[in-house]
Parts: sequence; C-alpha cells; structure tokens
Amino acid sequence: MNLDLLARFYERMFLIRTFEQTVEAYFARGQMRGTTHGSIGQEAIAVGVLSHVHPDEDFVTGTHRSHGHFLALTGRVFELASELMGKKTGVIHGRGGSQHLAFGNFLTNGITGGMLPSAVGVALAKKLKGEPGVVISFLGDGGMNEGHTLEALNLAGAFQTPNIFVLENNHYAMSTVTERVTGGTFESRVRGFGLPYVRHRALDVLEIHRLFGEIYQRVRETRRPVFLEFETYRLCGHSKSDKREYVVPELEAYWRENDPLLRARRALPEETVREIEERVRRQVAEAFRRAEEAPFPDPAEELKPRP
Amino acid sequence: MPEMTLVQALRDALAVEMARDDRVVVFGEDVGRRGGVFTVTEGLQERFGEERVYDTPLDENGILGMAAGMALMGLRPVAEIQFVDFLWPGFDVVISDIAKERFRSGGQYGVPLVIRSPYGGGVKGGLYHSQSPEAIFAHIPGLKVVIPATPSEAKGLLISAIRDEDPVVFLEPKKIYFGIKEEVPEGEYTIPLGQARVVQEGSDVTIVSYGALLHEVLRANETLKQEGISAEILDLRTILPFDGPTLLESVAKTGRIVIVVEAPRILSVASELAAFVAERAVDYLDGPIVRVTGWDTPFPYALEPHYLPNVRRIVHGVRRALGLVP
Ligand SMILES: Cc1ncc(C[n+]2csc(CCOP(=O)(O)OP(=O)(O)O)c2C)c(N)n1
Ligand SMILES: [Mg+2]
Repeated sequence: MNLDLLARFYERMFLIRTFEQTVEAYFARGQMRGTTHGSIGQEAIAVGVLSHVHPDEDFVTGTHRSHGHFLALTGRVFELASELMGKKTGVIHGRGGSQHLAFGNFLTNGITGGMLPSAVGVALAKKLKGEPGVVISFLGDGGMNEGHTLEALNLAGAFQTPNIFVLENNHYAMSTVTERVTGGTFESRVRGFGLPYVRHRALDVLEIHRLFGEIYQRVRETRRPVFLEFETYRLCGHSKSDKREYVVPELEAYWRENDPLLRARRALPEETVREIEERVRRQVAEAFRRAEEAPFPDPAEELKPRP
Repeated sequence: MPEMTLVQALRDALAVEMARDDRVVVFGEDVGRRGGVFTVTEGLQERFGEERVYDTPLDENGILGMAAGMALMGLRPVAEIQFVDFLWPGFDVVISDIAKERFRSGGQYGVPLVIRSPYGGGVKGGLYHSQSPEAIFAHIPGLKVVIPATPSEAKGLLISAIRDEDPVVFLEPKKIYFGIKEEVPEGEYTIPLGQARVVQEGSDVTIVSYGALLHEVLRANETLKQEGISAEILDLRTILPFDGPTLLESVAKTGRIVIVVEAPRILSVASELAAFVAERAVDYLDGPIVRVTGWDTPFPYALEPHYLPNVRRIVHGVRRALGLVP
C-alpha cells in the first residue's frame, strides 16, 4: 500500500468532512440559512476520481451535492465558505450559495441531471476541435430517472464523445428509496445506450483512484464514453432539515460499519493521522473565520434597472 | 373554527377533497411516505392509501405527463412539483399538452388537474429555490394561475382549483407556509377563482399584490397611515383570469395605482396589470402607474433582501404614484 498517497487522499477526505461538519454546525446555530447538501460518507469518490484531473485539459460537472467535488478539485475552503455565507469573496461572488459553483473547468447546477446534456456538448466540442482531455460528470441515483439524463446518455452513445459519467448511487433521492421508483436496472439502461458500464463499491479510496485511473486513461485514448457506477452512501441528511426517517436499516448499518473515511484513517500511522487532522482543522477554522469577516456583494453593482 | 397555518390549510383542503371525491389522487417527489418537503401531504398516504397518495421518481416530465393522462381518463390529479424552479424539465407537457388539450380536441377533452408548487423568495434558497414564474404560466392560453396569500385562501382556492374543469397552476408562497396562522373554515369551503379580495378599502391609492408580498404591503400600510395616506389594498388571488372589474372599480375611486410583485419586472404580472389599467382606465388616472418588483436578474442568493420588494420600496412607490416624489 502506498502510504504517502493514502495520507494525501486522507487529508483531502478529512478536509471535505470537516468542511461539511462545520457547515452543519453553522446551520444548527442559525449562522447560515437556506439550504445545503452535504457529502459526508461520499468523500472517497470525489477524492479518488478527481485526483486524476488535468486542470488545463479536462472538464468536470457536478450536482447539487458538490462541496466535496469542488474541494477535491481545488482545495479552496475560503472561497467555498464565503459562497455559502453569500460573501463577495465566494466562488461566484455570493450569487449562488451551496448548489451553484463555477470555477475554472468545473461547473455545477441545482437541477438534478441538468448538467449532463451540456457535458456531452462540451465533450463533443472537444472532439470536433481536436482537443485532448475528457469530461467527467457526477450524477445521483435519483437523477438517473430524469429524461435529460437518459437523453444525455443516448447522445454520448450516438456521438461517441469522451465523457465519463460517474454515478454516485447512495440509494436515496431525498427521502425516496430510488429502487422503489425505478424500472429495470441502471446497468441495462446504460448498456442499452451503447455505453460500457462499470460498477464498484466505493469503500477504499486507493482502489477508487486505481480503477478510475484505468478508465480515465482509456477514455483519453479512445475518445469514447464510459459509465461508472459507485455504490456509496450519504451518512448525513439530504439537506439540513432532514430527519432521515426513510433510511433502510441494513444499508445504514453496513455503511456506518464501513465508512471509507475511517477505513483510510485506520490504515495510516496514528502520528500521521494526528498531524493531518490538526492541520485540516486549523485550515478550515481559519478559512471560515476569514469568510465571516469578508464583505457582502454591493447591491448597487448587482441590481440595476434594465433597460 | 380551527387556527391553521397555510400548510395545514392546504393539507386540510386536500383531505376534504380526497374524502369527498375518490377521483382525487396526489403524487410527486417525496409526497407519499415523507409527506412532502414542506409537509403539505403529511398523513395523507396513511389515511387514503398508497394508490391515491404516492411517491414518483425524480422526473417532472413524467409527473406532469402522467397527470395529464390521468386527467384525460376522468381522474382529478393533484401533482406536486417540489419547487416550481424544478418544473422546467416537464414544461413541454404543460405548454404543449395540458394547456392546449381542451382547444386542440375541439372541446372533447379537458384536463382537470392541479399543479401545486411552492414558489417565491424569502427563504434564502438562492437561484433554484426562490423564483416567481407566475407570469410565464399566465402567458400560456389554457392555464389558470392561482396564488393564495392567507391560510383561508389557500384552502378555499385549492378546493376550487381541484373542482375546476380545466388545468390550474397553484403556486404556494413558501415564505409564509408556517409564519401566518388564522381561523380557517372547516369542511367544504371554496373561494371562486377569478375574484380578487378587497383587503382594505381606501381612497387615495390602490395597491395590488398577492402571495407573500401582500403581508409586506400591509406592513407598508402602517407607515402610509401615519402619513395620512388612505390605501385601498387588493389581494389578486387569481393571477389568471385576473379580476379586471374589481381592479377598474378601485382605480376609478382612487385614481392612483401601485402594483407590487416579487418577480422580475419585465413582462411581469405587474406589467400586464399596468397595461390593462392604462388601456381601460386612463381617464381616471391622476398619476403614473407604478410597479414595485424584483429585479431583472436571476435570483441572487446574498442580495435577496435587496431583491425583494420591502416596506421602504413599497412606500416609495406609493409616494411616486401620489406625485410626492419624482
Ligand atoms: C429537476 C429537479 N427536481 C427536483 C430537485 C430537488 N432535489 C434536489 S436533490 C434531490 C434528490 C437527488 O437525488 P440523487 O440524484 O440521488 O442525488 P443525491 O441527493 O442522493 O446526491 C431532489 C429531489 C432538483 N434539484 N431538480
Ligand atoms: Mg442519491
């Protein structure tokens, strides 16, 4: 096992979890309002997958639940905390809050599956322009039932675009157990559109990193789409107001037992873990403190009569 | 009469109609087991069963398309769209099928369905949990658009919407889902669609609003009273078909009008009401028609308090209508 790599990944995973827990605390204290979607339990996917990205060549699209994707990609805690507080120093200057992030080659959207047809368009443009790089798109199991998601899969299959679809199947769409409202299987759907399909239980960040690395290289070379389903779990509410009355007890028990973050933690020397956690806690606390002090956007600049 | 919040009144309306008419079915994302994000449908599945109250996939196009088909077959679907901001994947069904069915079938088919959906700002929801697209629906011939401003209205209007023979888009001001309580008539209680409510009679200026903003207008009225301005306050209730006669009667009396909506200004409901008054009542007008509205930008997260009309902007609008300020 590559302990250096694992330590690096653990640091990012712990950063994401600490960020999400800090956000939860802010909401609980009423210091943040509105809504937000945490990714506690799913950190290993964001970190394992996005560790491969070439920032100048690849394009990444996220979802409503993209704090982890953003942090795995950029590590910019201050900008994300600022955005959630609606500050001018936020990722998009306080215009969007938690669900709408845009940074370099990374875009998200609050509409479930809503980014996917655009993601195929980005990939097709890359292909037409002869540019290198792939398009990596996250989506959720609930989002698999939106028409535009299925249309995007068909487009990728028809035009053979360099897209990698990364389904984070955490089994729930808000309070609905997705399986109960889904006909057939995701696998048969995806294959039906002519895309290769890979499934993996997302327990081990190094394993996710290795698997995604293979797929990533393949798509860079073949310029053809691949669909990757991760079995995962969110160990937090859908959003801040969620009492989680819908959870399936067996799933809950399994994933509490097998939290990928704790698994990585257990594999590292205690000393390393302590150092990482102390460093990350300081980093997050400092970023939130600075974000609190940052200014709000100026209404006179943003709100102007038209025409 | 029991005291109810807007959410309780909506729940009561659904329960009353479901008990009275077994053609009424309720469905949408998370409406069954969980009882909806805002708990409007809480307890209905236990009471009326999984066949009449159920969860759908995350699929607005499917929800609205199935509602259309069920309505064609004589059922009375009440489809929930979790937030109106998420309706657009299913907009094609609304504009191409639901709105046009009666017309395009030569009157042979109607689609008596209700699309219920929370709308509007005030909860710090940002871009996709705050929009006010009532004018977009009102622009589509074949749809009715209804927005309650109080718990009683919510109940009376929702029951009327369910009983209507044609499709109704029923938008619920989520900002006041829980914040306002009042006595709500028990059992079958209806308010006819197409009728505005005169909330307060007055002689100097007419203020028209609806939804959550009506309450902001009432707060602004406290300031106006102190300044000796007598406002006639109208609650539109039905956005389309709106109550033209009540509007004209009021303007004929006051000679001034301020229209307060939270949607972006351009081509808003405020624009249509302004045009209507300008065409029909220009001879009665003693001052400019004033619109107090949201801004023509996507809904901003941080600047929500500046985006939404507030007491200060409403009072300023009234002063402009009265010629007290430029
Ligand atoms: C088109 C659309 N409909 C509804 C919603 C409200 N909503 C936000 S997230 C969500 C559940 C999404 O489930 P899934 O795709 O599995 O992603 P997860 O939340 O599990 O990450 C719902 C219903 C939305 N954002 N967009
Ligand atoms: Mg899910």
